[in-house]
Amino acid sequence: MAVTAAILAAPGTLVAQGFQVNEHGTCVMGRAGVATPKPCGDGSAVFYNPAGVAGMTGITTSIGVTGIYAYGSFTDDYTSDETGLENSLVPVPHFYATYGITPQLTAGFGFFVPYGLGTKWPVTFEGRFNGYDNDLRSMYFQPTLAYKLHDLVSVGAGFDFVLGSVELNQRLDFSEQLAPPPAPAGTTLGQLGIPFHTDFANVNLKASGATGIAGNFGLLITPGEGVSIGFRYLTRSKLDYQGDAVFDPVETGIVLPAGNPFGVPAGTSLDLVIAGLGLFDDGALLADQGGDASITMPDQVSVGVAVSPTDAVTFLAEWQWVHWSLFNELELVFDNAGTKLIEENYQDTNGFRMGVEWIADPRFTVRGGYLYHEGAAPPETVTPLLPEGSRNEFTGGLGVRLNDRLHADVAYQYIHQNKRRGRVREPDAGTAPSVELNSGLYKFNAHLFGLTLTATF
Amino acid sequence: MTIHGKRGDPHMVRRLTMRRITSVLAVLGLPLVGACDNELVNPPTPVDPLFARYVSIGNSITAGFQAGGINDALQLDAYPVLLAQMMDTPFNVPLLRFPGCPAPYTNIFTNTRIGGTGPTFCAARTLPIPTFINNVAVPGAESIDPTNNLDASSSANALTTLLLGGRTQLEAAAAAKPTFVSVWIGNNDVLGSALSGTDQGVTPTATFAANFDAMMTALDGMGVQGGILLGVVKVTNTPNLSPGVAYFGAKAQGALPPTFTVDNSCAPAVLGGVGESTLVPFAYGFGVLLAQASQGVSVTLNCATDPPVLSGAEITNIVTAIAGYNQTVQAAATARGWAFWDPNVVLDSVKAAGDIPLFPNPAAPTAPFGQWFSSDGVHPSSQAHQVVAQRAWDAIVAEYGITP
Repeated sequence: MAVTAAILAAPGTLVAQGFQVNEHGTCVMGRAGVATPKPCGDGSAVFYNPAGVAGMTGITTSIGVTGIYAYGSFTDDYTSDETGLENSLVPVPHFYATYGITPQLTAGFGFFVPYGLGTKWPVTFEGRFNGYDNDLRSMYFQPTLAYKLHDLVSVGAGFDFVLGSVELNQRLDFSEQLAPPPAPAGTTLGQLGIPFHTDFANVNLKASGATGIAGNFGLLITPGEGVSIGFRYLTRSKLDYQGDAVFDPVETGIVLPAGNPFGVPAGTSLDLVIAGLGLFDDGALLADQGGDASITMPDQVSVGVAVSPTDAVTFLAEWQWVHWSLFNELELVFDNAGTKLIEENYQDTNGFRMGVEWIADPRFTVRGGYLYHEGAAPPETVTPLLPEGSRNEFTGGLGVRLNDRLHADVAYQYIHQNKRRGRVREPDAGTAPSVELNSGLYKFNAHLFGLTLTATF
Repeated sequence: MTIHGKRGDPHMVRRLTMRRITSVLAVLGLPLVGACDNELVNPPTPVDPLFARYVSIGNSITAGFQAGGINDALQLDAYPVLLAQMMDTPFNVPLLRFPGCPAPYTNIFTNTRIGGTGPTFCAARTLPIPTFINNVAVPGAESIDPTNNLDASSSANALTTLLLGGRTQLEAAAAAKPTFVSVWIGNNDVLGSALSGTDQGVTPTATFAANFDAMMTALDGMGVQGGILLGVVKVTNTPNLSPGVAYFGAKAQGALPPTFTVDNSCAPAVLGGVGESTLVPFAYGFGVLLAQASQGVSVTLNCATDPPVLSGAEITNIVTAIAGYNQTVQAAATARGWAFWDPNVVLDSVKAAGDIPLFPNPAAPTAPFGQWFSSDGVHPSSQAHQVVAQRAWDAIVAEYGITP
């Protein structure tokens, strides 16, 4: 018997394209994430455009968190049953520090989590075999240097040390397992009648301590008074995960009648048959074991322009491209259970952001914005792990100068993902995912709350 | 449109820049126009909401068993599949790979099946395994089986697990959350006995009623909104059972070998026999006697004393039981406002018209029992399934006022 489609898959997430998170500074969040052409003064330029920290004087530190409350559901075409996500409020922290070494040279450091978050479905959800409780985090630690080449041009670069973790919980479907002899080779237990989606095991995959590196490069040009143009490139980072897979039996509740293919007397529990197969024994296929996987956090490119028609008002716009086509497949290698290749077929995405900032008075700054993201997942790989799609998002924020050294920003963001058809089952072994497997509609929305405190010295 | 400003006016420069940026923002905003392409749930869109999720419960006929076997082609010819097409509702069938489980006969007289396979051969299911099963019928099922396949009186067999994975028919049905069901169960409560030439083992009418009521109560609890109940077939009309007089006539016409003697007890009543009121199962007349006679063994068919021959009294008991069953079935339909269709009306008329052969025709091995029965003489042919589906649909339309 071989473990097939069910053991697999990538962690899911739910806030921006693919499993990207873009809310790493409350000031920027309030203006729809536009910072490449004109970063905020809280040091978040370390992430959004390293060139933006050039020219910052003294010491600036900021710390903050974005609380993400995602909610959504899957509605089955056939039964009309709607199952809701059970995500709780997820805090995503960020921290920045900059130090003006000279009027031209500035050093900085940033901590942020640009890829991550998770999905949690009820364990009874029909998509539990793809994954019902999934979590992925890629934490970036980025020392940065920025230099003001000219009054009009600044450049910056950061080296990212990436630390990743992933956890996936899913059920295994007995009908997808290969039947033991005398069944012909390749025959699944489903072909012997075991009902589709018969839970017989739970698997917890957990890996932490995966490391990778990346680079974050920025360019900032100020061609004229009140106009600035920014460019930023964050390189991809490949993380190699080595973790543990823990398998626990789950009772099927099936009692076999007479004439069953296992040759056991009528009234025998299928669970006894499964126990007799020794699948969970030490060294067996579903014994607790190690597993390896690699996931590449994709490149990001951002280009934006900011215009300040007056000293108090700034309009900002930005285009972002993310190289999601790198995530075209996921290979999971288990010590005992073999290798599983999952097709994801992600597509590169474009995001369009527009924001406005108004300095209402010396103490208060008001921000607002709108952004649109394309979905990375193609129609055939919209699954419970990552039921994402194109999104419309609206933001608002407020900056408050508390005193000469302290500044606070708060922001709110509403994410409305376009409803997306998707699937809750994997393709049969050896077949490619197809939209023909899509059997319902995913809905997803989220409320995000940001708070950042900034101190300058 | 050209905008003119005072040369060297820095404020004008900023105003011009602003206009350009506004244009850029407008361009950037264009994709947003197409950003609201929400996709939709794609629920079934049947001819009436009542048929949103249709599940069929039953036995071999409902499952699509024909000619002593069952495979994917025959399953898709079964009346529930045709009914679902009339309803325009999704319908998943647990399809069995070719040649079947077992494979159907190609010639019942030579006991030959598709692919040269034997009666115990069983191919597995086809892939992909459907998420829900709509045809949960299992060949061999009796009235107890839809709710209980573990009882000693259950007729559970290899197909019970192969089709439903150990679940009862109602357990499998519940997974599909049916809004509408068809139930055709009870034929096997008498058929096995009849084909064995006895009335022993026939399910008592009270037991049948208890089984049937338990099933209907369970369906009520499942939230089923409507259904059709089909009456139990008068199995004595099936061409697998030939009147003794048919053998008497065949012998007289020289259609039987010299070693096959037909006793005068099989003669018509006018000649002092009981041949018109007795039935000879194919398995006995052909499977045993003719098979031996063909090998030179002298055999005799005695319609008065041979145990495998159904006597007039046994036939009466079987028919009486069936009538009792159908009272239960019809009452259950009436109580719920469900449709009811009695197949015996059609079957009787077809028989009266002479369209059910009284004696198998070895010269036509692909249709030895005529056009309405498959080559096992028990199960309806694909052509008959079309009639069943149409008549059942007519009954549904009449009961529920459906406008097809």
